[in-house]
Amino acid sequence: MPRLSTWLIRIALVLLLLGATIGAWRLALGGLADITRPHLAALHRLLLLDGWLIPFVIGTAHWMLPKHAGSRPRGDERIGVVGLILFLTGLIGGIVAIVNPTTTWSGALPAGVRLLGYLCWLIMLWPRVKPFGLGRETQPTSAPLP
Amino acid sequence: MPLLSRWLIKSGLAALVLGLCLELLLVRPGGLWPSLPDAALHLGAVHLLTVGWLLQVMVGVAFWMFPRHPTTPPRGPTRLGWWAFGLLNGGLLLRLVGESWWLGFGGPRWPLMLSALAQLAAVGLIVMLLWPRVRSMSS
Repeated sequence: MPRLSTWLIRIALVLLLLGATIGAWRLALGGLADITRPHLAALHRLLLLDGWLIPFVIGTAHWMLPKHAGSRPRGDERIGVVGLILFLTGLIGGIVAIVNPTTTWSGALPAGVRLLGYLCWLIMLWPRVKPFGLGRETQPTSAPLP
Repeated sequence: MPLLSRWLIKSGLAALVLGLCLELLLVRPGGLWPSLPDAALHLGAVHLLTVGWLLQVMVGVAFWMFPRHPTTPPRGPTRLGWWAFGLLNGGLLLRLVGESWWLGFGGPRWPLMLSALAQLAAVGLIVMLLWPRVRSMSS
């Protein structure tokens, strides 16, 4: 499993635990239909839908999708790392915006930053959605080992 | 595919069908079963689709496919996985019944608290089971 996938999946597992803790707290306090704590509901959704689901799927896809031939079998991982930084920045910003909303638009900027992160991951994964073996002949080959 | 993965994925598929059935109940003709609490049906459907279906299928596939340990047991302590499976599905069913009871018929809150504890414990066990297997093949 590549390093980027291990980061993404471990971050997803931590966020799953955090999101489930908030969900369990809400459920125990009075059920999820209780709308008196909207910030907890928003945190629960953010941590589980953005925080758990997306990095887990992207991390697994980065590991398992068909590889290229040559020296970069999984494409340019730097784009994935930039995506991870943008995602984490947007997620932390989103949490701050939920806990301490300053304006009605305060959640839009972090959501935009997360969106840029998702676009980076899309750019990284897009060329690898192909039949196994395709393009192996046309990719640049790696330098011969000394 | 290991037995635990098969149970997780098949339960996930059952949760998908059950979740869609609850969604169908939500759009029932007006006047039909008016005492059914729509809020509980909606929340139940959402959680059957996200926890029951998505989470279980993802964990089932991860338990099957993630890098195995070089030592035995190669997929880690399977007993943790079975506990997680039981607690997750038990908690999910308890919440379906408990939330409808609480919202529709003024039932007690303890089923919701018990369900919350069970599902949280299940997630903790899932993290404990998968975490050591998230590693590079060579390490």
